[in-house]
Amino acid sequence: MRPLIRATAWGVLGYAAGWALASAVRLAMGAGAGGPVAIVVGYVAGLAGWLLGIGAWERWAREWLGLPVVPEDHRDRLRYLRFCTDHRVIGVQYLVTFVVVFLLAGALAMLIRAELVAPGQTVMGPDRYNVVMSLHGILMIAVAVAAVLGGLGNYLVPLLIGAEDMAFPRLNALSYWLVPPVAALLLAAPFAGGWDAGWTVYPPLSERNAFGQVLFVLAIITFGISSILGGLNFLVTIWKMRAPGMSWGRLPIFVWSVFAASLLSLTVTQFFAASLLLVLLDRVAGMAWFDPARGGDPLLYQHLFWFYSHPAVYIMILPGFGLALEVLTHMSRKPLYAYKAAVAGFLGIVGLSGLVWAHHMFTSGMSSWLHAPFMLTTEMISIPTGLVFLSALGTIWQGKLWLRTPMLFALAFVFNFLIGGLTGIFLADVATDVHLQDTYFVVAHFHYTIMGGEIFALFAGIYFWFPKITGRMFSERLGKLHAWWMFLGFNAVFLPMFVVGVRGMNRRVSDYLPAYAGLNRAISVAGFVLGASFLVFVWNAVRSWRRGEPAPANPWMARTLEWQVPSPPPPENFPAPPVVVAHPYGYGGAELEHARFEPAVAGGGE
Amino acid sequence: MTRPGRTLAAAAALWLALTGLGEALLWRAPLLPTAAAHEARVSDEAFRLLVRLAVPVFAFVVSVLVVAVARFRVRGRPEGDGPPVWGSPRVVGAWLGITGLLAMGIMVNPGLVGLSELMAGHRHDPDVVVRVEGSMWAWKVSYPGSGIEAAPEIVLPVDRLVRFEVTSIDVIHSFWVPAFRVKIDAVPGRVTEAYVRPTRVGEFETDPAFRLQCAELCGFGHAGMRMPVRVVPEEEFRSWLAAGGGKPPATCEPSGTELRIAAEDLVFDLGCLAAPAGRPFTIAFDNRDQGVPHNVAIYTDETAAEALFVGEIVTGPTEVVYEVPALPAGTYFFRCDVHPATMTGTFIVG
Repeated sequence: MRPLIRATAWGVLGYAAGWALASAVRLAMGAGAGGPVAIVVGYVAGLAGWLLGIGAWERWAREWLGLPVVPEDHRDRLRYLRFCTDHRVIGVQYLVTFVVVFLLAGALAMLIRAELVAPGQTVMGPDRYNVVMSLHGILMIAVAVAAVLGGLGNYLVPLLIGAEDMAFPRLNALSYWLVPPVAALLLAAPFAGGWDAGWTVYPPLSERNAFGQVLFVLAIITFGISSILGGLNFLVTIWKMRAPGMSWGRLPIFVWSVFAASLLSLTVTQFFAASLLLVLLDRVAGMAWFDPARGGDPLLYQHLFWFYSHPAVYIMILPGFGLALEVLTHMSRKPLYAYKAAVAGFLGIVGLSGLVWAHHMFTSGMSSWLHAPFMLTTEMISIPTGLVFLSALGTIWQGKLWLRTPMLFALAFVFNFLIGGLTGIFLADVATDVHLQDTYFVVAHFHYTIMGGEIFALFAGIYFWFPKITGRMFSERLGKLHAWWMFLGFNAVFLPMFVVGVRGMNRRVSDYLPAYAGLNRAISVAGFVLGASFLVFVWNAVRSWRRGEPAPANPWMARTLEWQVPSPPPPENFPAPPVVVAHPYGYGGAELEHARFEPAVAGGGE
Repeated sequence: MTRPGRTLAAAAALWLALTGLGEALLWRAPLLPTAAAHEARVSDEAFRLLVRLAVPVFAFVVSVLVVAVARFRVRGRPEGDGPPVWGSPRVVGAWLGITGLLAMGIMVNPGLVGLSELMAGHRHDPDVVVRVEGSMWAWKVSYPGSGIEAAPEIVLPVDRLVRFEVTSIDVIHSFWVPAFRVKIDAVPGRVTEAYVRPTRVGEFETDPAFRLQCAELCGFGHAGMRMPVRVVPEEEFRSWLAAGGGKPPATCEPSGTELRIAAEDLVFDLGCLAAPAGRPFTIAFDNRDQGVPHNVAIYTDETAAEALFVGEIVTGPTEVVYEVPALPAGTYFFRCDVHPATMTGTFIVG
């Protein structure tokens, strides 16, 4: 606990120093002390204090200053609460953090459905509703961006490619420790008046609402830095750290998906950070980027914002594709069908993703000649996405389908994402989107892709690698119960949302006309049922982690590298350096094993 | 037939059956709300075509999933592996060809075809121009050249081309009439346009699709930011215009000096209040809106330039009793000062 206490103390000290510095400058210029500028400067200094306090001091600053450096202890039981550079520790830190955030944001969804169970006011007024809805949105976006990449990505990528760790372990720890300040700011925002502009925070609304909006902006810029550093780290790791023999053509599909997603997080996240920075400058520095009364343009924000935020959905879903295909191939005991086509699909999505952003803006008032090109590029994305479906369906066909919990989630992923993808076409088509934009049809669509897609894939991954990460087996009965409960609950919630949206119910509302009451009541009831399904998961995860059956090295008889070492893997991952000699998915043939381990040199290693 | 052949045949049969069932169920399913404009027909045609195309694609994937799980599942721990099938370039090529053709098909129709039909309206001069101005959280609707500056509802003639000129004075709102399937943002600093040719009469009282609804999150009052829309025959529209728009003036008679009025869901429950002339009276005001400030203020007329009485603004839910001094006989105007565009009424003293 000591590092956490020290980090908090240094963070507070940094904040005070930054605040005092900004106030001194303000006083010298004849303005009063404090104000939003002082809070922003204080936050930046406080963030630096927090990072140094949590461990960047020992792991980084001392080295730069030429002071003696104490080596890290990777066996310390409290390493999960410290600045630890071990990728497996960081993976678990991310995974546990974001599962907790997921449950929290899910609880907010329950509040939303409680308010919408009937027309009129039921549990909260429109002001509180807007804050709850906005917070639910951004927390879930954070989960979607970071749970799979930060959690499973950090834990698995070095193992899957036969590396000891990530390319930049300290940067990796830094990426994670940037997250707690983000969470603290977002959770503090409701106490600073909250913000009522959704997660998209369009100006001018976001430039005139409560001060909680400024905390949101600071939080998301910080989160963006974490995301950019993570993307950079994955790219270099995958490029440079592969074991001998691990050619690009033998890369496990999940690694490919992390590579594709990282290309995007490294290159487009800046646009989101920049658009929020401009909002911040408008608010605290008196600039006017988006204020039409002073020559600014509110539409500029939307272009910048969606230039990140549409590719962002691929940052979320590509690793989901990777997880689902990974589980499908191992649990079908067949090679991944059309492996190269699936990889081409990923890269095709990356290529197109930067050319489609304005399909979010068909009704924004942008020039109408932009409608046709953005409609066409958006509809083109169905082609590379189709390759992923070919790979999934070709893999299970004629396989030996082992319907354990991870496989159920992976199959549910294919079904849910199919609905998410098909309904996306209705939003890419201008004639239908002009009606459907900003309705519950959109809400249903993106929940089918991100929750039905990525989050189902995340659970497929969590169950699949639970034995590897924790060294213990989970309860299969509870796992299956969770899978079916969540699948049926999910579809019961979000399928009717398409209907209520088409019929004319707009989104982000705390109240609606009595005409939509029947469907909303049904959706709310199903929502509570869906929410309860996660209690099964929590119970199963906590109990199995504490006293589940010890897991063997390879409970799924899978070929990839991580299953060839004990559960959990030893420090530095491999008892001896692996040499990859065959494809990871060479099931059913006379293929050799995927990798051999060179005998350890006597006296070497740990 | 061999076993793999039989499994394929089962999947194909299931595909055909599911496709037929899906098409039959969705063919005329009452999914869409009332379509009351040419633009709505274009949109609905595109919607139905996309549904028709999506059904076989959905049915294909589901059939493969269902048959694969039923036929290839293993009970217990699998022994041995499936066949080492890696996929052939021919299959990938065929798949790309089919999905590519489907994608190109929807790009042309309904994509470009629908878009050009929607844009067709923009090439003609409109018969009616309606200006719509959004503000937090009310719509102000005016008919240029008619003297109607703040209509309480949107009234449109059937079978005439209407151009909406939309803007906002504060944050971004969005103009959406579900019955027209038309949506355009109201952006401060710009005027955006939407063209609509209404094709059938209808009104909000009987059909919730006839409403102007704000569709872009705009803060506190977003959910309730709507206004009734009424499509009427041309003649009725002309006489409505000639009468200066607006509702017929409300009438009511004084009965005692203890008046009551309530505000709920951002509207007053009464459109008319009356008090006896020359005697002080009280207004018991019940604000039932949680967390929302309202008041009751009386002015000489709708310009609200000269106040006769301004009640204290109170945040609901709460009840307050205003003591109003004696007023001379006349027909006045009252409103909520916080929601001057939507919460108004006639105040009669006599």
